[in-house]
Amino acid sequence: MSARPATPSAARQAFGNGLDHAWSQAAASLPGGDWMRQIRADALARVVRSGLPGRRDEAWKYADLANMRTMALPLAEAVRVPVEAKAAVSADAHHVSIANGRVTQIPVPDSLPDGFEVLRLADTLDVPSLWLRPFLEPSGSVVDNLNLAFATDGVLVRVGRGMTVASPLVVHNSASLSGTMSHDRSAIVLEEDARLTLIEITGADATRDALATSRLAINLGRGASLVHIRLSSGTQGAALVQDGSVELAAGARYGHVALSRGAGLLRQQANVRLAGEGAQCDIACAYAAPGGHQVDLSITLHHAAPRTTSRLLAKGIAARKGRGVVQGRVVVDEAAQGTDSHQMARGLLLAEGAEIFHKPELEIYADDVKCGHGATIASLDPTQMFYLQSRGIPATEARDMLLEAFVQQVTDHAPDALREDLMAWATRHLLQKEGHA
Amino acid sequence: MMLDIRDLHANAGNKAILKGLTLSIAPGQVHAIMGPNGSGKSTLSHVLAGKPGYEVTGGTVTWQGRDLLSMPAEERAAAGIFLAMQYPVEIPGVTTINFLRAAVNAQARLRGEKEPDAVTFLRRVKEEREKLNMSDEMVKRPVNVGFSGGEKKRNEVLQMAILKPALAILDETDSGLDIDALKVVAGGINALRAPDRSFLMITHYQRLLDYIAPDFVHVLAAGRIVTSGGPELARRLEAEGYDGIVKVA
Repeated sequence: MSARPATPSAARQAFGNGLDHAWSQAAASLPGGDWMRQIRADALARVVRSGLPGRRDEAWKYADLANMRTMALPLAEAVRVPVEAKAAVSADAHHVSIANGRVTQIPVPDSLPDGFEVLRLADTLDVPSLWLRPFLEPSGSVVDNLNLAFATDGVLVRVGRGMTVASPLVVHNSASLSGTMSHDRSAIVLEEDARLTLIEITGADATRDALATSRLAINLGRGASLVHIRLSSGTQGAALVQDGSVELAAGARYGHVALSRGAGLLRQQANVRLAGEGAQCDIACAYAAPGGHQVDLSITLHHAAPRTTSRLLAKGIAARKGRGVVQGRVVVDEAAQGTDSHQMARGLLLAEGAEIFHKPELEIYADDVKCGHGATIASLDPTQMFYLQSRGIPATEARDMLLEAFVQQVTDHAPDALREDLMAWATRHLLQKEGHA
Repeated sequence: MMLDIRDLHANAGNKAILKGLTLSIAPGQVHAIMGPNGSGKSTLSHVLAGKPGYEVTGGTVTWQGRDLLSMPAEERAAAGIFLAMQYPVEIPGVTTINFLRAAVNAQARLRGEKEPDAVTFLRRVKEEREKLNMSDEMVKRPVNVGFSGGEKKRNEVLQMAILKPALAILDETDSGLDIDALKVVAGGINALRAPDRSFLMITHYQRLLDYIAPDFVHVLAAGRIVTSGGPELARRLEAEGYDGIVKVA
């Protein structure tokens, strides 16, 4: 994101001052040695220069973070983590908990198989280590810089060469933030031919202005394979921004299924770079935007190597005064001959006053490519409703069946063993009755 | 009488389509309604099944002593009315077997009956689909998605066989079927004929009636029944065309 021309506005000045103040208050408690403090200060300066993103930035066309009164909030206090979230996954798993940006639970190293490491970010920032560097160089997005300046903690995960981690790694990330903000920062590295299933369960809870950012950098070595499931939900007072980057080496595979519900603003932005020949990614998202909530998915798929494949499916349901946004940007470098990319966005408006925006963008510099995209926005199909009712199924049940079917086409992208849990979560969080109103 | 339609008037949009239709059907009877395009055949079937988009402007429909027109579509289904649609709808993401199960259970609940257990239900589906030459795979696929015209109509008959309606309305069931598919579908329907089950067949052509013999044939024109008779009326229509019959009437 490029810096906007400096505006003389007092608001900008106030934002800068406020952010500086928040940082000076927080700085002493932020983990990391002097070297890290410098990195944070530089990141903060970049945020102050560019301001928070808003309507004037193409990538934030529909979701105005600058307009949300989230600037200069104090950092949230550490809290104890609620554990009920664990019920969302029935399989055996390695559990990590993050609450208000701090890791509160992490597997003891002895419980993990050799070659599988899960570390706290806060424990690793005292001395500069080379392997951390890529995750501390911000991608350039304002949110990433903000996150880097304030990040309190996160997890660093490494799966060694050729290793398959049998049980999923489950990261429970909860933020309870009225009038405060939290920032966590994590990285996942899969070495050559390694395999992992990552399940993130994120909840942001706030009754008034609050901002949570969660940064996740994923790096997949040659032939590595990551299944990444993400369940996110937020309340109306919370702005939750999940900022991700994924780098795939040759033959690597990234499968992502995201189910998201609401929040004042739930923004999921990801930059996926298919950097090695034959790399593949399959992203499937389903979201629900109840009244007063807004979900914004902005995903860039960057084909930088030959014969790379990407699939993006985004399905959203918006209720009255709910808003959904899907921005899918596909970039195909000149070197990426034989690229095969397809994106499809489907939106379902449940009532008058619901809004859904789809913005596909293609930037293609290679000539031998297959790039398709499609978008639909509709209400529930009355002929389908009548068909079900004409067989004796009452209207409310018929509607639930059609909504479930709509979402199930997303959960079907997850591995068999997880589909039932995902559908159960979706039924509870995406299709709950209040979400229809 | 099981179904009693008296002087029925109905609009689609602002256009009057049915203009005083009267018809009675007794248990076990098979009635055929024939008529040229635009005579109101499909409107009649939709109004009886409770499809939105139609406005009844006059007349009554009594079903087993109840005011049919005041019942929502699902209650009509639970009360034994089944519409085999001319254009069965595709429902991606909902398998036929789950759809059938939901329908059977919903009807049982609406009638205040116990839902059948899963084993009994699955056995019945297996029996009925085999009669219709439908594979297990077909009922595990999303409803009608990717089905040929013939497969869609067989799926309608399968639903009818499982739901066991007291009145089956067949809306242009023969349309889009080749002769082999028609034989399978007609065979399925004939197997469902019973003393307590009535049929109302709506068709443009006599062809369907070669396979499903009606007790009564009615000719619908401009929104009302203009003449009625036995099976011989259908043969006359085939020979003389609608123009002759409608004019004479």
